[in-house]
Amino acid sequence: MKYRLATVALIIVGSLGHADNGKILATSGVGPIEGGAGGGIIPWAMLSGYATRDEVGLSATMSEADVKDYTLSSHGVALGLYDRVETSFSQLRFQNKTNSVDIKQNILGIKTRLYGDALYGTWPQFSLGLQHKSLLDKAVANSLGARDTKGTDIYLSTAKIWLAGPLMRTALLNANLRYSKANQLGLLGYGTKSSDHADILFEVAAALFIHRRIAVGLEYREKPDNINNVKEEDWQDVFIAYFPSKSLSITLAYLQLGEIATLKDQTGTYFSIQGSF
Amino acid sequence: MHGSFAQIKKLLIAYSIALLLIACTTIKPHQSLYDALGKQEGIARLTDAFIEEIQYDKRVLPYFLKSDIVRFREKFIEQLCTISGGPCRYTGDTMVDVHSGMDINEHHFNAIVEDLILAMENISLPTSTQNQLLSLLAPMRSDIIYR
Repeated sequence: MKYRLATVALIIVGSLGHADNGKILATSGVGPIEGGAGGGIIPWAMLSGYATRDEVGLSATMSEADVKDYTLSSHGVALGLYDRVETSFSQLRFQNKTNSVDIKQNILGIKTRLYGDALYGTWPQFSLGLQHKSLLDKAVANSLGARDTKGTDIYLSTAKIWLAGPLMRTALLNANLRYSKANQLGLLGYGTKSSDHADILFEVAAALFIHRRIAVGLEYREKPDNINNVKEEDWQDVFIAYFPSKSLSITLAYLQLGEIATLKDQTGTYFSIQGSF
Repeated sequence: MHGSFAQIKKLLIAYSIALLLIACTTIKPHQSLYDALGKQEGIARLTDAFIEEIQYDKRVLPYFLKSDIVRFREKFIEQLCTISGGPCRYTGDTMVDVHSGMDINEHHFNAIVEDLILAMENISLPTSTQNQLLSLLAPMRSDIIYR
């Protein structure tokens, strides 16, 4: 609750201010549920905020997913340092709408730009990221037979922006490879008692700026399926993001999260707001 | 779904094809850009709108106060005409020579891009024309910053 209030305050302060950092509007992406820079359900290779190699930038994000039987909310902050490193802290909260299941998870993220510039480079930008996640509420993960209640995902991310892409509109393509043992983002723990197997998972996002301040796009996130009898399916979304200024972005999406913890067809809406300094 | 290697390979191939498709649609002759900009007259109007934006931009104005703005106007028009496929030849100094020793960083460069976008918005150039021009100017970045 304290974190949540602090995040709201940061977003308001950030959006009222005048973000004066040097990067071009919307090149920071928006705030995905796991924190840092990205889309709605996956991280992107870009770093959070608009900081150039001479600057630092702070951003705060809140998001709320509302699907058939669950809500998944997230709030967090990210610090971008000199267009090289991004650190982020987020808290996810997963709730079943009809029973007492209420799971909180902390996510500490770090991402470093290895090579390139998504906007100005001839080649794509490459980044390497870590997401260290720990469950505050471990009962569900334990009861499903998860091996661990904390774990670390590693991902390699690549992104390219074309100023005059298809239809002469600015376009973005991002792809990630993720090494992970997580069950449902780690909300249901990591691995299983019988297997410590890790997956390499593919994630992709594409976006088109139909207007300088409005992007539409889609994302796909391959998911593992570790726990017997508790099926996990790939996630996807279509989104529209609006950037009224460098200080503020608002994202709306339609989510398709498949089966989650034995409840099928989890589709619904996603809303996220981000303030940047 | 399990991330088997066969599947990753399939997805990587799909991603590469998408990259290629976008790259192909991006390569277009710039023949019509000069016309889309409104030829000589339109380019002059854009340049004036650009200079006006710079006048209000305290991030970059100091750099322009030190330069000959009449010459800048003339050479900028010439350059836009040349790169957009118009009947001109850029006769100014190279981008490296012009910007050497000016200590221009990424922040300044992006400020100028924003001013140019505002100028293009102000004279109501369509987004597609704006993007085509920006994509021709963007490669000059490395010749301009940290020189």
